[in-house]
Amino acid sequence: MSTPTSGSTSPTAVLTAPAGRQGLLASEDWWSVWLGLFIFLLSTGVLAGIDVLGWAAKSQVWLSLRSAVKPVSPRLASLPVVASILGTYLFLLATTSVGAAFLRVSVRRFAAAFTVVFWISYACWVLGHYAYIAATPDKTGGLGIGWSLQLTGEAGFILALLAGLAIGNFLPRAAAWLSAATRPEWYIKTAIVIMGAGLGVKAAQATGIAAVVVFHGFCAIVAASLIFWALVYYLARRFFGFSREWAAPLASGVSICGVSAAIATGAAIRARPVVPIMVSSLVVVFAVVELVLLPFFAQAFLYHEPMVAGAWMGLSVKTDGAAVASGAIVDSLVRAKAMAVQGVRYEEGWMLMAATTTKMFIDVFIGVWALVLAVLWCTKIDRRPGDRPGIATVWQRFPKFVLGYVLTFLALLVACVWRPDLRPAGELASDEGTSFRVLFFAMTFLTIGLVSNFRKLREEGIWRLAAVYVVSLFGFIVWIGLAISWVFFKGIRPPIAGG
Amino acid sequence: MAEESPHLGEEMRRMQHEELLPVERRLIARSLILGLALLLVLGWISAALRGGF
Repeated sequence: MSTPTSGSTSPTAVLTAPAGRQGLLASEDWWSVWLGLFIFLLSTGVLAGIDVLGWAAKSQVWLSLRSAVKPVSPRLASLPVVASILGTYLFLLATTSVGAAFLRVSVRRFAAAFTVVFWISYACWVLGHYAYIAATPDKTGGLGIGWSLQLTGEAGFILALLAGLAIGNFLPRAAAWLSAATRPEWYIKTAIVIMGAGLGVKAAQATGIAAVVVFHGFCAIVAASLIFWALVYYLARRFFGFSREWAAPLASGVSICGVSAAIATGAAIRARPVVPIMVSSLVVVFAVVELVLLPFFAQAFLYHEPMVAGAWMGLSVKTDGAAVASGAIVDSLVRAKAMAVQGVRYEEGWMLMAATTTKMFIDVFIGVWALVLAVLWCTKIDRRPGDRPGIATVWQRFPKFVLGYVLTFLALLVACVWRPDLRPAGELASDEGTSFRVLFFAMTFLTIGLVSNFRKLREEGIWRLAAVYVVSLFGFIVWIGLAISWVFFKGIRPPIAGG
Repeated sequence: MAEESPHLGEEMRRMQHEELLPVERRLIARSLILGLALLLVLGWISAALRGGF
């Protein structure tokens, strides 16, 4: 049995990683921390008056392609847009290639594949900002257009997902060629580390709400995970006849945290590597289905309870990438609908924060739960000589990118609370980080699409696994998740923009 | 991994029935009870705190 790492690209990559490569430079999880912190540190130069990343490309709602992109810093507004975009590409290519080299991926293959992944993602991101797709009701008048889909610029994420799905399912050779840079978990974890800074600045302006979100996120996830896991495990064992080796990773994958939970549980109970891999393949496919459906349900029925909607995504959508991505979509969809129906303009990012917070507590919880299962399996169910799980097991399974997120969040929160005069610079630092964060998001969506091979659903035997998934997910997880989100987040509102 | 990727259908056919052990039943029951208890307690704390925000 190979040892898992928390920072996985794919289950296969994790389970085939050579033994002993768990160091600070040898996992995607750690590299998401380094890459995220590097971008964060450069962006915070503005706090000291040094604008290091001001040249980064920032997209905006456009009618003419010429006005679609500009440098993020007003000080560098005169910089040619082409230089800004090329600089952004080269910067990301260089930094991710360093990570790829340490991850022992062929840098040449990675760079070639990354280039394609980047440009497709970037094109989708810019296209998503087209005014007729993105403009919210408060912007259509100013742009001189009579209508818009009102999806905000985050529509670019959906376009990236569709592009990825098209390539992954209809161009399998191209998808295979892109595999070196098909690393949704790395991209999303890096994005989350960067996002911590932006949320820290927001939280500094509304510390009360931020504390409420973190506390309730913790509450929701502890209750939900324990209930979900027990129900899915019982269902799989009692009614679908799965063995313990299959039922435990399946229960964790379906109920808790998708791919990383299935892998951690598989390792904890010493399942054969093939088990979490097959479970994970299914999780990825269903996560995309959830990602496409649930945000629109949330927009239709929860626009008056925005934080419930955000937390619901974190609780219900599996895999880090899909959950945070759905949080981003919900954030834009619900804000647009609240604006259109209620005339309320919520500040951006709070629903995403609720989704991300609950998701990160899940990631932490799975480390603890894997330890519980490891202890139970090696002392009661499958006892073997030399088994001695302990604190090292928890640390090994602990998602390290959470450390990066907490660090960037606290750094800017403390800085902006302690020195309110730094807030404008903090906001610019956050904007500069966000220019890269949204591109990591877009690449996450594209690569989630690339690995979501729906032909898996035609494979013999998959329906027995899928039946557990469908019954669990749509039978109770989504609804209990909604109820728990309602219990803990009802009545909590994001700050009003400009309020 | 490729060398040990048996067909899923074969895996499903080979899977043998395993009775639920008492320890598994206890795990399920305790997990459910703890989850529900925490839901009640934390929900109550949340409701109580919310008055303060």
